[in-house]
Amino acid sequence: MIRTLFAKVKAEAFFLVLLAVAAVGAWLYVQYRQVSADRDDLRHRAELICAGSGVDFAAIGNTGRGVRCAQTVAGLVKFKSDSDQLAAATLAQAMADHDARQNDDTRAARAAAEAASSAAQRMEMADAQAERTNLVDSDWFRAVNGVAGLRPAR
Amino acid sequence: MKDTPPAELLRCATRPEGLPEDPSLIAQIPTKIRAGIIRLARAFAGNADRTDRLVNWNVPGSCPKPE
Repeated sequence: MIRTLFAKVKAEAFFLVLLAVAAVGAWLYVQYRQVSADRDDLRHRAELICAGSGVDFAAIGNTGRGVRCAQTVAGLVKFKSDSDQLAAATLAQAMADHDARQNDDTRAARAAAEAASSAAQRMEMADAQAERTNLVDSDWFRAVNGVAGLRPAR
Repeated sequence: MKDTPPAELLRCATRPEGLPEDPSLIAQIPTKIRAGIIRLARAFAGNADRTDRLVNWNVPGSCPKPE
């Protein structure tokens, strides 16, 4: 029984080897199709990405494919980080400027208010003196100049 | 973004000479007119101070600061 089977197999050995080779060939062929489809897809995507950065993926002269594109992308990344840094620095400077201005103005406002209130006091006193006779002299004029913040006319 | 106002708006407040303080000058001014003069003087000082502050805000250090 087994012997007859073995004899048959031996007779068809050539065909069986052919079958095995064909099977391996078919498997390899399927693998090849998958790999090449995968490669085409990757290449297509690489081209799309490079086109997005404005540079061709294809090789030019001695430069391998994708090299210039990678350089461009690296440059863009550097540009972005540089400009982020610059924006942050500009913003910080603007805030510092604003604070300095605010402080200066607060000081100026306080000085003006103090000068105004002491001038107003002197004005009140000088005006009280003129209240009865309506006669005003250099004291009153000086007080008016003080309230207006003006130097006297010669 | 810096938006500088026109030069016209960056001029410091005009502060002309005020009243003469000559001791020989004496005037008789009714109370209502005196009050008016004082109101004008006070408003002048306030406006001039604020103008200078505004100019200094836009271009720091361009107008003299009050002592």
